[in-house]
Amino acid sequence: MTSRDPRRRPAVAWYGLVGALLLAGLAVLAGQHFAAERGWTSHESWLRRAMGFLEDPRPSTWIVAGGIAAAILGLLFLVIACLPARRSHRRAEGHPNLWVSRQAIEAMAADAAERAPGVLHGRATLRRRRLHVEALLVPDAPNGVAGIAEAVGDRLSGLTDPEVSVQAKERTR
Amino acid sequence: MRTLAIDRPAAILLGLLLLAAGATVIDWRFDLVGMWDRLDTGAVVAAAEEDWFTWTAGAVALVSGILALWWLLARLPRRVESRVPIGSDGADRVDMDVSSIAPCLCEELERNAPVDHVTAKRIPVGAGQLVQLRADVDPRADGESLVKAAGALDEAVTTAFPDGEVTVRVLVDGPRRPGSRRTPRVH
Repeated sequence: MTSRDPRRRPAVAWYGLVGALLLAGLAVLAGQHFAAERGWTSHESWLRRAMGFLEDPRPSTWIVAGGIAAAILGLLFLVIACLPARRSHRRAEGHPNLWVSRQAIEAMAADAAERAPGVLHGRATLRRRRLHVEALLVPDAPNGVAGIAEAVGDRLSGLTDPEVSVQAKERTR
Repeated sequence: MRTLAIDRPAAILLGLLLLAAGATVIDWRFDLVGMWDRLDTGAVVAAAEEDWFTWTAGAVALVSGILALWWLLARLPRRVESRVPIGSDGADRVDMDVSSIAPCLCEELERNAPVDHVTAKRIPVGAGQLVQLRADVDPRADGESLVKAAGALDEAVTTAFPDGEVTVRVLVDGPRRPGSRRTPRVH
């Protein structure tokens, strides 16, 4: 049995929802025209009223704004339709059925950094294979950057093996 | 919400239509390529006066209304069949209700791994099912303990279902409130 890698919901799913609502809008517009022309409603057909604007030599500001909005929305639809669903988790190195999110790795790395001797505050950011750790140290911290890198590496052992870069600053007295 | 196979081609089609509509209006206003001047708007207005146009509008309303409703309803999550056949002998067949083991797997993971808020989702894969457990990590967790817990869970499921009718996968997310701790740290 094989299954797909865990992925985020593709953005096109939301645009599919917008598309369905636009289609429903078209149905309402065409249905109102049909009802008005058949005499089922006393209101004038919206479509017929819109057709009246076609004879104008220049469109009104509202029509131009609608046209620009339609063009932008159309471009967005085209771009979003081509975007693939992004991976939500990365496979752990230690087990094929364990998947870990970027946020989980960052939280564990930040906690590991903060628990290293002499560290006041730690923060971690994972970008692809590079884990960047920022730390605030007490003055004359015992192990400094090497201790933080070792602590983070040990903590993430079995999950991932990123390139750890540590940026440490000493708190001024 | 489910993602449908039709979403991408429909989004491309709709995008092209909206872009064409927007470009037509922009050309009408700024006369960039003179497309609007070549368009016989009188014929369009006259066509809208015809009786067939009314019936066409009615048909368009019906078809697009049905399509829109289907497009909306089709993305609602479907109920996954919970039974999985695990063996048969002649006329006899044994089915396993996978929904009954998912809560046990959640409890097992929460007990053995430094995670909380474990939820389970069943995904049909071929003739079997994948039980996908999703949990929030405790920031104090270490990789080894997570790997060990996931391994033990996987081993238990593999032992129970050696032919792979049911498999398990563990997804570990970040803490629910990133950076939050139950107790403040003192330095």
